[in-house]
Amino acid sequence: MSLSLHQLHFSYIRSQQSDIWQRDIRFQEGAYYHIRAISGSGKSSLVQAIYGLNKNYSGEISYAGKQLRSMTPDQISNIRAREVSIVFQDLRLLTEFTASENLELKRKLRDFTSASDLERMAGELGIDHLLNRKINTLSYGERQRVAILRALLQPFELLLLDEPFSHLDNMNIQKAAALILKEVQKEVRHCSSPIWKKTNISLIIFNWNCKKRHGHHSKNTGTT
Amino acid sequence: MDIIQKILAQRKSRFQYLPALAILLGFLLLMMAIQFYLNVQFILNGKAQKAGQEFLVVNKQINSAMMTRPELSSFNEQELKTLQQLPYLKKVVPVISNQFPILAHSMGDLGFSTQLFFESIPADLLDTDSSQWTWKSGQSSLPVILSADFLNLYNFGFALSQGLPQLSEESVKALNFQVTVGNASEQETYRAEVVGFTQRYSSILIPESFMQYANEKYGQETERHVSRLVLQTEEADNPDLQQFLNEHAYVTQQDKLKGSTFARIVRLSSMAISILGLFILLLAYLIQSIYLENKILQHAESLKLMIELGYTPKQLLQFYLKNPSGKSSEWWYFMPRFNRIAMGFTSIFKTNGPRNSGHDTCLSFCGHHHLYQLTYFVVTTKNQKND
Repeated sequence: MSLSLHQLHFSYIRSQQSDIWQRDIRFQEGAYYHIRAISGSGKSSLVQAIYGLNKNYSGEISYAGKQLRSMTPDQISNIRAREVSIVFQDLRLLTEFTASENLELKRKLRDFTSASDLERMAGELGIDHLLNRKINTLSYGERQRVAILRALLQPFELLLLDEPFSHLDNMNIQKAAALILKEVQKEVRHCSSPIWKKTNISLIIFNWNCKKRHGHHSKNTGTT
Repeated sequence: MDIIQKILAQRKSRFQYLPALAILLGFLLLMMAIQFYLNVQFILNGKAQKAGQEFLVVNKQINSAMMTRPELSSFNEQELKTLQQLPYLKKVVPVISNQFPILAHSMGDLGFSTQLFFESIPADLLDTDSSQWTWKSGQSSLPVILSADFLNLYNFGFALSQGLPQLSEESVKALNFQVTVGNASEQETYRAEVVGFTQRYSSILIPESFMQYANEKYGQETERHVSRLVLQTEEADNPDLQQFLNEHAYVTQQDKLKGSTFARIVRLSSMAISILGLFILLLAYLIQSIYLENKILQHAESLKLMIELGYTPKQLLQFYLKNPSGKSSEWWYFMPRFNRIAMGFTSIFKTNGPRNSGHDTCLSFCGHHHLYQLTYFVVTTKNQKND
């Protein structure tokens, strides 16, 4: 599933130099993108616009040639459930419920990941012992790992990561990055549909602050 | 327990069925008022009768002076005009009497012969079926509608005291007797048939067409005397009407006036109960709205997140329509379910709007968009069924 931006611009964002704003961009399938910019240059606005949460933009965002703006709520929901997954910058977890319940809410949506796989993945992130604790009793770093795990429980062709490791130490960043890459590659095994190929999965990472990462395209939304 | 149900079904209010109970009570009162009104109408009129269809037969009070001057008991043109101008009377119709001698005699073994009188009124003022009560020139039979009081007088007064058989309405209809009308020089004989009985008029009624024909042909008076009138009114118990009748010494059926007063009180009582019922229904709607707002605010964040995670509005609707508690789908159960469905829409509005305006959208929605919400719900549910 291709993602294209056409002359995208937010009136409230002023940037002198940008690889994103007011340009025609087509994100290649199977590629990893790292978008870097200083605070306030529009990274979150961009991720929310791509995810359909912000429509205050000029220009066009298209999925497989279809404009996001013209999609119905049900169509947008279907894209979110089947094709695009996200780790929100502000995590967006139900704090009154347990980590397990938050994860189940996503897992039950498509029933894509088995309960045992979920436990295994939680173990790899080091949060398997926290699953029965309420979110409001977890640290920010633990919550962030729950949010990362939640994003991996569904099928996707595009994974949006909005400052996904901002609360993690280097060791946990290593663990999370390894799991993300492993699960991205694992999509092939999970999906029987021929359109699900490893090379079709795009990863757009917003402000991944580690310097040495996998070979990928790098863009910026403002002055680096 | 399903995770969605757990999230959305939390913090149940013990008052959630209050609007449903209020609706039940409101409808009960409304239905009771209508039933009560119809029952009383039935008792008063024998059958359901439209409001504004009350008929009074009016004549002048007979006094000693009229014994020698019968024309005094008649209504003159001026009096008729005055009556017709009264605002509370819809119709003033004179009862036409025969101006020629009538002799009735039996055709069979029942030997009787008597002088008789006829009166005539328009067919639409009758309280009985008048389909057979027609006469055309040249017709040998003469349809007659008899006062039910006359039959009662015969059955319970005359027949019992004289040892004669009592007659049912059907047997009277089966009897034929002859009627001879005319004057000394010319006479005509008709076969009279009783085609119905009237509760409203104490008289023997024949069709207007025959009365006109016979009065013109055999009438002995040059001037028409109207001694009885039928008044059609919406409110027989109108105090102004009663005062007018008393002032002019006009006499009518007092039981009708009392019955009408009773009906008026019943109408007012029914209306009061109906208004109370409607008020309770309105109150139920308001309580439901407040309850709705409360539930929306309770679950707004959860629903918004569910939409953001990929749940579709249709899925949420499905959840609410599935009847999550497993109870039977009684009509009153619709109310709390409806609340939850509406909450789903709140999150839709919030999700599709700018991120930072979500809460404002919700508040605006809660405060001002109930009708929109109802419409949206109905349309979406319909579409869902069609799918």
